[in-house]
Amino acid sequence: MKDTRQARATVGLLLASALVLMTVDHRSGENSPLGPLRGAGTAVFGAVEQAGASVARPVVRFFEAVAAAPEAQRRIEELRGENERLRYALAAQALDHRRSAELHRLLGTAGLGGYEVVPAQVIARRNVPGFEEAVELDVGSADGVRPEMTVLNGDGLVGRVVQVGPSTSTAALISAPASSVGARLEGSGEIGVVRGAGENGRLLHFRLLDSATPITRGQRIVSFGSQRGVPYVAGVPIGVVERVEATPGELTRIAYARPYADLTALNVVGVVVRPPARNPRDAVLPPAGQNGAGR
Amino acid sequence: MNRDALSAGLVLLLMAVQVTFVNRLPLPGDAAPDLVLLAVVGYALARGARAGAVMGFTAGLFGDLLPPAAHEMGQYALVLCLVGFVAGRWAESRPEAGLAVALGCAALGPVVAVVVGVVFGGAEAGVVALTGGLLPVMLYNVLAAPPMVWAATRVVRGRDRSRVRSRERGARRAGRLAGGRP
Repeated sequence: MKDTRQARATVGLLLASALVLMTVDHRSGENSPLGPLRGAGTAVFGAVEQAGASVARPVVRFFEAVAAAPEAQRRIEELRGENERLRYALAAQALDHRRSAELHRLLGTAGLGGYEVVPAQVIARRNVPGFEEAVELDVGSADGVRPEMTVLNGDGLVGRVVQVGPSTSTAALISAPASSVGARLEGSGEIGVVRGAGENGRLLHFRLLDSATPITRGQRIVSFGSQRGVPYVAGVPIGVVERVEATPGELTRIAYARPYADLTALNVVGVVVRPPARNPRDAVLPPAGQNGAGR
Repeated sequence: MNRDALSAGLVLLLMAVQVTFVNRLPLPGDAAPDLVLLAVVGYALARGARAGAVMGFTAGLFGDLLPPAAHEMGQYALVLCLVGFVAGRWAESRPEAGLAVALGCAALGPVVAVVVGVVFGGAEAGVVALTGGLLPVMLYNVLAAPPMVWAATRVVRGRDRSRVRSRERGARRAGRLAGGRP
């Protein structure tokens, strides 16, 4: 009996200290007293994970290869044909390239108005459904990465940087249950909020703020963006609407969208370290093809 | 103390393996078992509610510090502390049902995580999350529970025999040792 009471007291104490930690961390936000602790954790474990990932990568790749084997043969045939075609195309393009470069210099717009992106490799991943979804990237403050920077890949928006160490950084995915991204329906331009749907990155929850706007299956959602592109730059494709919930009488409409980026199997991503030189304040939607059409 | 330090170190190692390797395996259902949770359950089964809660809290705190963490400090500590306590308590009250306790706690862990995420982490509870995300993880946890929990109890018990439910096993081992000595 005494042992039970002791156990209860211990658990109560521990739970209380967990709550205190949470409160302190949440309330003090940016300059949390626990920040240095977390920074040290990122620095130490980041290095360990970087080493671990280089060991684990071949093994993971082996399992991926086994899983993909039946399709691989067909794919090889396909790629061979495509390679042949591309080789011809490349020969033709090499001729055009020199002329194009000269024209570009002439126009003088090359470096202006573009995003500067640092490529990164995913070295660790944590997904506890309904709790969090985050990945560790192998770039850090030495590469110019800072907290609240946009993370994307060739297909679409991936997430944002939340914690930066010297050579690694942590990114929260847009499918994380507590993340929310300002988004815009392409076409009508209506705004809404994208949140994780807790499906391990397979689905996103999209809340359209105007219930009168028609929303249909197949419509694209792009990021809304904010001042100086923090934390999400504007116009990055997020996903395509897959299912619209019927919410009669409510002030908002709810849809579920499939993300463009394959959030379940992330490998190479990019961190936007610099938004365009020009303040994108008045450009509500960036011109198609700049960054938004890269799908 | 030495044994506890060893266990904590193993949990730390397990956590790194979990995030760099296990979570990135292309398993069907896009989910993976939570090895750290299972290790805490195994520890609690071997050492009881109080030690289980302490180990759960420690492991959870490591989890809050280990890099891909986008939540507030203390949340994962809360989850694992609760799981460790429940597992130890359950095992103390019915020592013969070790496997059932392990399987139950393996399935219970993800649910506790969701509840803590919704209550403290600002996550939105949705029906989709419960059917699509939770079930695969619970399934993988239950599948991985017997070997993981067995290994964890083995590591913990291997160095100390005054366990909650190892009287007969201890007696057997003592007999073997006595017989094996010249």
